[in-house]
Amino acid sequence: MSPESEPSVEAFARLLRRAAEERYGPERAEALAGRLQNSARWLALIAAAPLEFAEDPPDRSGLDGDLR
Amino acid sequence: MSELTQRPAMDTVARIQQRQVSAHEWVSACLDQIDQIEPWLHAWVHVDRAAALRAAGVLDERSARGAVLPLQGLPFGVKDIIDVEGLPTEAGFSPYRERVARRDAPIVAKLRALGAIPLGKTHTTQFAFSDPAPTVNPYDPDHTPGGSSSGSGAAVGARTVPLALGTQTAGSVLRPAAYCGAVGLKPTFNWFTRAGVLPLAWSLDHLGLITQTARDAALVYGALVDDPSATATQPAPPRIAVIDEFGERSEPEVAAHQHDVRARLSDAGAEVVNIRLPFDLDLLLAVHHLIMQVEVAEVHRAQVAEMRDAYGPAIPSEVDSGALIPAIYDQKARRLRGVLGRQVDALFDTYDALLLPTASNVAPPRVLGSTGDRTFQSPWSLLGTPAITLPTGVGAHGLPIGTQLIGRRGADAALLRLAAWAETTLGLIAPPVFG
Repeated sequence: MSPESEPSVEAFARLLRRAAEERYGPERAEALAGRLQNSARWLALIAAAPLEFAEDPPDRSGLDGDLR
Repeated sequence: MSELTQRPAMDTVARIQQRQVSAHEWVSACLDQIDQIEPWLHAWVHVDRAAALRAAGVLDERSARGAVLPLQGLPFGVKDIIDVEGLPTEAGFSPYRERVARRDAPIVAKLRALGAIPLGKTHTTQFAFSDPAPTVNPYDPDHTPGGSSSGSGAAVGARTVPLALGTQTAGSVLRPAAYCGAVGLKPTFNWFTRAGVLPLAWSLDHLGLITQTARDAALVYGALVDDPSATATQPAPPRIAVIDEFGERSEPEVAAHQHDVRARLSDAGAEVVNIRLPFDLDLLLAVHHLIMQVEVAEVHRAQVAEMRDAYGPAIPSEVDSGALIPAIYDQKARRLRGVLGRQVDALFDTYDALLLPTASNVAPPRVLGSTGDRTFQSPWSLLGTPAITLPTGVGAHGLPIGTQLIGRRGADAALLRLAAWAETTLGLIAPPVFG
């Protein structure tokens, strides 16, 4: 999928809002509106960021142990 | 007020090692300072006076027989998400009030073994997230001390203790340290085991140290990891890159202070240049915030389902939001973290440190219900790079302004040497004056 076809902030906001209403009901979804809007902005930035196929594996995703 | 609470810990440890001062005197001076200030500061959840004095007595007896430890007699506070044997780890969560730790977290045990003495537990925002602790700012009680290590920042800033342990997932060591006029050190990710520490977000949580000076941070860090090079002298004036994006996003008095800091470092011989990040700062912040949201949701989901009403509003909302994030974008965020981290690593081929304000602002009024702006600290929690804040300035209303230095991943000791040089060059602000 090219970056151009990734969802916009508005599309992510609608997707998250719909999911919240289904899962938590309209009242809790409304209470989450501000946080979901933030999440939509972050998702849109991440979705649009260019990344080559298999360019980098997940880094420090919880598999590396403590040093001491 | 005893001069023992006002001097750098490094000096007092040396005096104790030379038997000019006793551990009992140092602990007593801190306890007296707590007695005077704590009624309005609210930095401490528990102070274990009897245990601290007993430990000091044991150390003094051993000292009389010639046994002296590297951090002999050094009193410290422990953020209340870190286990201390015999004390509750409450985490600002009332159902945990009776949750007494059966053993010390390894970092507490190590500090004890080095001769340091825990005085008690310091307040945290609930589970080190964002619902505020009762603590106030020692420079102005109407302002936040920052968070989440609110009690640790305020306890050190108010000189009730020379060292406190904190944790940082976004900005929770450096921001409270900066807002409270203290030094805050967050070493490289995984620098010390987080066993015995309640998690918030597994891949972002760091243990950190809050002290009165960078040299004290180096003393304690060097002892904890057995690296004497942390307290060595910076061999030459450093090469420092000032990151412009952060100055542009700062309040005017913070930006003006950073400009002044830049000039003073340059006058002292540092090679200082201005740079821009090789990527969009907003992308870096988005990656941090999204990963944190998902990890907080995973860590707290089951407990929120069971005890939602016992929580403040912040974590349940974060759990509800984080549970909706599509997994594919969480995975992409983790891949981007690696890419962006390598671009930051490459900057250290040219520069010894990056410089930026520790926060965009001074401590905001508590009435706003926020512990402040995490934007300037969270990039370094995401990337696992070491970061340190120095209290280098005071704003128009008497609140501290911090200067933040970032080092290469794994080069904590080098960053501490550079910070000690900067501390000497810039000087540190005066402690708060109490009416």
